[in-house]
Amino acid sequence: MRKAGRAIGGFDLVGEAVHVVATAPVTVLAAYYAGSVPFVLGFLYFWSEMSRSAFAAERCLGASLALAALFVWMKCWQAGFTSALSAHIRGHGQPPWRARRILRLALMQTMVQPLGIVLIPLAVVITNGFFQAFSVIADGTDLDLGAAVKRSYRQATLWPRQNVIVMWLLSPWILSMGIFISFTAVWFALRANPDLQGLHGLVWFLLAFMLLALVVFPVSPFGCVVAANIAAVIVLVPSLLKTFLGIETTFTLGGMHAVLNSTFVVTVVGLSYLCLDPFAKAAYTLRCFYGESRRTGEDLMVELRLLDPEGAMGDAVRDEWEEEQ
Amino acid sequence: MNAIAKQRCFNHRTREAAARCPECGRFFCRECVTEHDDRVVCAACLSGIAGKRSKRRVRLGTLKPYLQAAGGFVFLWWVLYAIGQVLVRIPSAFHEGRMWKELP
Repeated sequence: MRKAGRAIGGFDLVGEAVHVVATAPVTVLAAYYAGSVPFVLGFLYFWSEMSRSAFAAERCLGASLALAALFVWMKCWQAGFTSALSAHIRGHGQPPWRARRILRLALMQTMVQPLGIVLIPLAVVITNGFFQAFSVIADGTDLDLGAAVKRSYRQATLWPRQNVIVMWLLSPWILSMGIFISFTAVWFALRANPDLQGLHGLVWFLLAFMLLALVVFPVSPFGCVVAANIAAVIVLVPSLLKTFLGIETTFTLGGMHAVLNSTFVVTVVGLSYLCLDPFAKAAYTLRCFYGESRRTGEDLMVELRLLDPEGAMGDAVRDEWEEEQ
Repeated sequence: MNAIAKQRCFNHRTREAAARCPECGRFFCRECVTEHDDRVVCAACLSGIAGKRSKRRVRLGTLKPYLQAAGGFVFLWWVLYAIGQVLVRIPSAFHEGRMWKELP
């Protein structure tokens, strides 16, 4: 049994997070994707538009405004997702979603989460935990920014080793940055030494694969496996369509060019984000639950409730605790 | 003529007036007036002024989260716009994978 105040191991926490997501009602996960899928699609559109369109410079202002709105939309739904997960972990209903609560949640998330876009890539290990905890804590039950920031900071600095393990296994940010760095490194290598372009395509593909394995796998092994699976599906499904049904697609016509371009990489990263982030959010919801339980003892109440579903034992302990207060 | 020397306090009829409130124009004794913002005003007018200020503060306090959220949103918009501008400036050879000339 876990000793009071001692952290649950990082791997155990990830295992528990997977269990929490698997046992939560399907509407909880649907709430996550209702917010995140539009943002990822919007980001893919933004990326391809800005990287290829002849009107990119003119459309940049409007497209970035729409993407900002989608980002806020996503963060609000993610906060709703963590609130529902939190209620599921505690074993009781969450506060009702009234217009006032939704407004407070939207205000709080819009105040703080935009900073994450800049701060997380700069210092992912330090700031990621804070912004994840803020998604859990600023759930619209009040509008006290100072208190929410303080509580999130306290949760982010709690049990640093556990935090690093959770990020190492589940953070989509580390995976994204690893892929981005290795992809950009190839470009810089070519700029520095144009003779490298003389290499055969297959050699290039192997070099790129090795670079990905060397840079990305050590920093995000599970994310790397997820991304590799997604990339394999994207590449193999068109090949299978061509083999069995004779249907030609852009992927089969483009050969290696269909894979070695920035939109393909961003698509893989975006889909990996959608796969990994719900579990990362669940892990941070659990971290906040255990962190705050050190003061409230709620984890013990949940365990008591599991042992005694009628609640008599839990009620007696709560009464005793309240009397002592 | 209402010279101050001939006036009595509005609250205490037996006392002679010592000051005239610039807000309400009434005369008051030394005990009934106080200095506020380099002016001598009566207690009733002072509470009125203080009430107006606290109402304004409450109104500003209600607006604060909206202003902070608007600031956050504008910052986000600016960051995404900057990312878009960087993407526009990156050579298309990078985006379209033409770096690998010799691909089969």
